[in-house]
Amino acid sequence: MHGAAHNATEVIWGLSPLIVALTIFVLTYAVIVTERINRAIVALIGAGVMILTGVLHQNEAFAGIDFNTIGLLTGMMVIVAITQKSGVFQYVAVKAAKLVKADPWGLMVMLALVTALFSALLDNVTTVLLIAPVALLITDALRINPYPYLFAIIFASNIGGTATLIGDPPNIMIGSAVGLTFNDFAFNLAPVALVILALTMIPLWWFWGRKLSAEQDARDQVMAFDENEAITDVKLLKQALAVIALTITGFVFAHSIGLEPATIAMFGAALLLLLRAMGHDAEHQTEQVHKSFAEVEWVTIFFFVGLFVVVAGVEKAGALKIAADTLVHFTGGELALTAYVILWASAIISAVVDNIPFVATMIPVIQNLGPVVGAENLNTLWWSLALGACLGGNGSLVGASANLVVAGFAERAGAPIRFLPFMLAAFPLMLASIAVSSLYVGWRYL
Amino acid sequence: MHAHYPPSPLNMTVRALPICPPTLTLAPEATVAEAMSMMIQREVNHIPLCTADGRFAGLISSNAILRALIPASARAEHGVENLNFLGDAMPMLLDHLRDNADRPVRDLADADVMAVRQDTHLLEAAHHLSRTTAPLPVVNEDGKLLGMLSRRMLLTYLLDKARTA
Repeated sequence: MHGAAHNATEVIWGLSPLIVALTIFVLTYAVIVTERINRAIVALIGAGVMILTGVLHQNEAFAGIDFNTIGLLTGMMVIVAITQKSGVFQYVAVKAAKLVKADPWGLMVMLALVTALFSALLDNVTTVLLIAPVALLITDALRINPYPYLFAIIFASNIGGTATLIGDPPNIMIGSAVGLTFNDFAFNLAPVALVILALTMIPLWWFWGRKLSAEQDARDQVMAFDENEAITDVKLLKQALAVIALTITGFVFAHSIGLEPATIAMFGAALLLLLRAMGHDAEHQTEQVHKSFAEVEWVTIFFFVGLFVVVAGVEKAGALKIAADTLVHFTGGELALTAYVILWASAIISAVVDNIPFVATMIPVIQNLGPVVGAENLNTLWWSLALGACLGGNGSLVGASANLVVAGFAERAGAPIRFLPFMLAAFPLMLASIAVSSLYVGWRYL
Repeated sequence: MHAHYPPSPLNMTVRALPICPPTLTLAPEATVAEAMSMMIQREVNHIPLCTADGRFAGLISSNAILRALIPASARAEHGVENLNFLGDAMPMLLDHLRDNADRPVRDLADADVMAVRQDTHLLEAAHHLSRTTAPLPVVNEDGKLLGMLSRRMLLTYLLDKARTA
């Protein structure tokens, strides 16, 4: 990591790099929080100003960008963009509903399970973008209030995303920066995610589940749905499932064969594009590839790029070393206290602000703690950060992008989710999941 | 061969056209069921809404009513595109019909429908008409509905002009 040593004369107006970098950092974050300007624009402006003011050179800025995170996200987004055209997500949701005979509470459990599973293997935003419309369709047919289901989907997506390296952007970033593998995440976070998902269903049952009921004729209607008709392209389905299976197998073995996740995801994406392109003329291929790339969420990708540079700036200026020292001063460098502070603070901060910039900042802070808590204990802090940042997203409607996607769709479909009522139920439930995480961290690592 | 038309002596506006007087209107408070019956009986797809003092208050279309009957998760952006797996979903369609029948038509009316004035140029009226399937409401300065300008009326007028020129 870079030290704080930097020739101050290279920074304009003779200000110290630390002051300039911190000002840019705080302004960037403040504007991101207001959500008045698209976050990708804000992050890129912040990154540009970091270089223009001389805090960073362009090559340092590029070195600050974690291309493993960028590659993994982009690759998975391409795979999902192609796969969703097959209708497989509708198939699974309808099949799940029919497995429980369209019983309202059973449906909630199944949708939560399906959402958690997909969120663990794909990104959360895509998962909820595919599951929420089907959930609304089924509750419409059952003539029941969709709100509890959308609530359950939001919770399940953030909990499921916690479970794996590729489930949620904070995990991707942590795994990439620290070299933690897919299996590390699966062994350390999946068990507690599963427990939290199961425990979350208890209050959901108490709030809503036990009171939900649907008339028999409405349930019959759902039972008459034909999930096979949801599959629009069988060939595509087979190709996509084969590539996804191969990609996930790749993630499992990546570390032991010396590969990084971005390589696996990008290769999977390229393979699926190749399978789709075979047998078509050049024009058709171009159109297909163009469409697949167009569905990548470039706003998120450029947001990451900009943020990495902004964080590289404050890191180089020495601000994150100071933040780490402050944290150590507060906790006395004691491992258990540090882990709990990171867990709870991450959760509460991630409930109200985007967890991506928060984690981008915290990674170098925690790396700086190595000498204090001991390098062998750092993983405990990484798991605390991952649990706090991922689960914290459940605390409010703005806590995670997936929450906003569900809320946005619900609003367009005439079943709006209100900010405050959601938070009144979600925040305590999120805190409960952090309490469970605390027990887990204490029991397993401390 | 291109015919040469003399320059129009007047600015050609909507005033030049015979518009249907507003005999077929509904109050914004009328129900969706009433609108449907009227559409079926009078064989129209669009009915202008008028307040008690004759002001134009929107346009209800058979299209908007149909849109309200299909599942919300299908009509919303990023919704379910393929509905084949629902089967005919008759109970759901009938549920939605029942749910909507007693709603006031203004709930389903196209709120942003353009109304033109009599001094609107024909070209602009033609431009509006070319971008929608609905006829164009014509209102006076007070917003009172004077009548509806249909695509066919405009075409008839233009064809007539071309022949007599």
